[in-house]
Amino acid sequence: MTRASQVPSPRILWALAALALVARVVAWWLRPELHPDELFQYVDPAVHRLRGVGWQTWEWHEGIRSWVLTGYHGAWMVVAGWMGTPRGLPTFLFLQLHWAVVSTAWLVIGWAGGEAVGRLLLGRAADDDRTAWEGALLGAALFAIYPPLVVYGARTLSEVPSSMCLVTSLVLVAGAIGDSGTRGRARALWAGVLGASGVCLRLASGPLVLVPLIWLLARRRWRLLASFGLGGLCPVLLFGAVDWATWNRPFGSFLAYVRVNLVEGRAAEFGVEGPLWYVERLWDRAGLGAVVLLAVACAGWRATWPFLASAVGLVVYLSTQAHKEERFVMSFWPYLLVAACGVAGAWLGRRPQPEVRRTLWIGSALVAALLSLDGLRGVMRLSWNDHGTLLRDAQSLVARQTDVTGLLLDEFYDSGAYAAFGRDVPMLRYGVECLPNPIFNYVIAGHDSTVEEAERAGFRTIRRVRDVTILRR
Amino acid sequence: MSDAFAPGGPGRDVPRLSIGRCLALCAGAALLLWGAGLLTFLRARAVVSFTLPARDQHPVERHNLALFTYGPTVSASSYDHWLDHQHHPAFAVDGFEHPSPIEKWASSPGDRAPWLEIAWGRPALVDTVRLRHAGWKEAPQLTAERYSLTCVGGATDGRSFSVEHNVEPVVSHTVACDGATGLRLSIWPNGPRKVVRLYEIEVWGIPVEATAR
Repeated sequence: MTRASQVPSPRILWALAALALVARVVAWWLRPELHPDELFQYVDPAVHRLRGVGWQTWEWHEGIRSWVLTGYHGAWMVVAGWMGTPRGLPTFLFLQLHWAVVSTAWLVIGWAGGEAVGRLLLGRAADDDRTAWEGALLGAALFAIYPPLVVYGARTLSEVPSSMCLVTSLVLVAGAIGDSGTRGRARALWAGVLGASGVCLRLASGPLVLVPLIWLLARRRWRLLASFGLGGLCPVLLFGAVDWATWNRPFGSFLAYVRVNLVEGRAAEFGVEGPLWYVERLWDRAGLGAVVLLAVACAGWRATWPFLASAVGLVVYLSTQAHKEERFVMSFWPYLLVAACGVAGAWLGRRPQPEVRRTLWIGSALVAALLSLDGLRGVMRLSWNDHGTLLRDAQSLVARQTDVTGLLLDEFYDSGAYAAFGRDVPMLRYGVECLPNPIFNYVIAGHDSTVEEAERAGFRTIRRVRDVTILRR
Repeated sequence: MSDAFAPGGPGRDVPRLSIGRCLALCAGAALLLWGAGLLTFLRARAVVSFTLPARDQHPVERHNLALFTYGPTVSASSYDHWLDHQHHPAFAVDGFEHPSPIEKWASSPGDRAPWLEIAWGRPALVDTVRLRHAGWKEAPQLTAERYSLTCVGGATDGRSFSVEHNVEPVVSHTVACDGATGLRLSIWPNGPRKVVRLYEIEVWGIPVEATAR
């Protein structure tokens, strides 16, 4: 065993953790554009179970969603209620804030990833106690503040936990690959647990779990491979059992997902994009940064190829699918960051001269800052506090009125379903034929024509912000 | 004077409450809380129940006690909540004469024992229940054939009136609920995977305090 090298003070890590948390809470506070599925897929079904009201989407009607993540949210919604959080939008914001806190764990993943890749590049043996802390510190710092990761932190989407599980799985395999002892097998076991969890949480990310398998196969680490497979069985069986209990069929949601999305190709009904759509989106978000990160990561390709293959493979695979959304490729960033930070850390670790190291550290810090600024510029192009946010605020305002007996809602799909509406009275898509029904005494309009129609039916405007109008009669 | 080197003295090696330990404690507490929340979530039954705000006071004369303007509490075993056709149970008490096919209560297809309960909160003498079934606006075979009406609260709490082989789309049933504060309608679906549909339920009666005057 060799001597342990100097590692950074834990205070630096705590400071980075605090920075990561503050960045995510600020991003949550500024209210980035929300994808409707955040509410419709993973929160509103829990609302239905707890309150009996909800809007059932076709995915839930077809049974292609697992109850695991929705149940997880449901449990936190119960806790939020115990804490006195009002139903509706405040509870949803509580869930988002919870994910902002949970996603701070990216910092630990960044640390472990940078360390694992750095260790591989520095050729350190399994029994070498020296931490490849340079890569680890770079990883932790970038994962703490890299804007695309920060903005996608506070989301109630399956992409967030799935991506965290899958990246951690590959990082654990990187740590285990040179260690066929007990510690290596334990790591491989946990890598299997997390890799399978990531896939079960988000089936579209399934191909990503092939990379650690191929890596272990290529290195002929049969014991590690067996541990990985054994670990992977646990979440698969758990998700299968949950499906059995909820959809009355083992792996019911998985089988329905395969039928609907892969056999029938029905996801394409919700929009078809060209093959380069993801490349364009990634370029918009942090194109220059991605080029720099890719260049650095490629420099150490012997150790980083699994991370590069995961990042690029995900984009290539998803580009073959007709229906595309930017959130689907969010795992691209952490894989790339792990690889680049590990390589940069290894460069720093090989320089024994203090002056050279100091200069390189300053240079690395500058590059990291520039990359973050580039990412910030990219995420600022997203919609913030947009029309959908305004609609959900309007729903929340109506829910706080004591006299509401029914609500008609214009621009249905941008709204927040019952997850943003804390009342259990009827809430329907606006239609002029519903206006005569006296039970509807509130309208949220997104168009001037709707306002005019509602006014003709006896409604009066009580509040208007930008293009969203609340009417009452 | 204490000896720093004595067992238990100030120099003893006490475990420090580090940030990591604090975080671990917080995470443990959060996990316990979440577990309790999960149990509650699993026990939830997806029953809808809400009280509408009262716009009017119950009059002293005979009237429809269930009408939404009097602020009833409406509960239902389920409703068909698919995105584009929400058949909310409140539509069963909206008193609307010209509803669209959406504006009715329809149970969820998975609900094998649908029920709808209206509570008006004050004792009343109920004499008639009028139902507007699906056949009122839709195909006659969608009208509920078999159902029961049960008094809730008062001297006749639990008294039930069964209806078999109904074919009338709009039908009035004579009941006798003494001091009832609510009424439950239980409908047997017309077949497997069939939903029950109801456009309106009217519960006619007189508040008990009016009869006492």
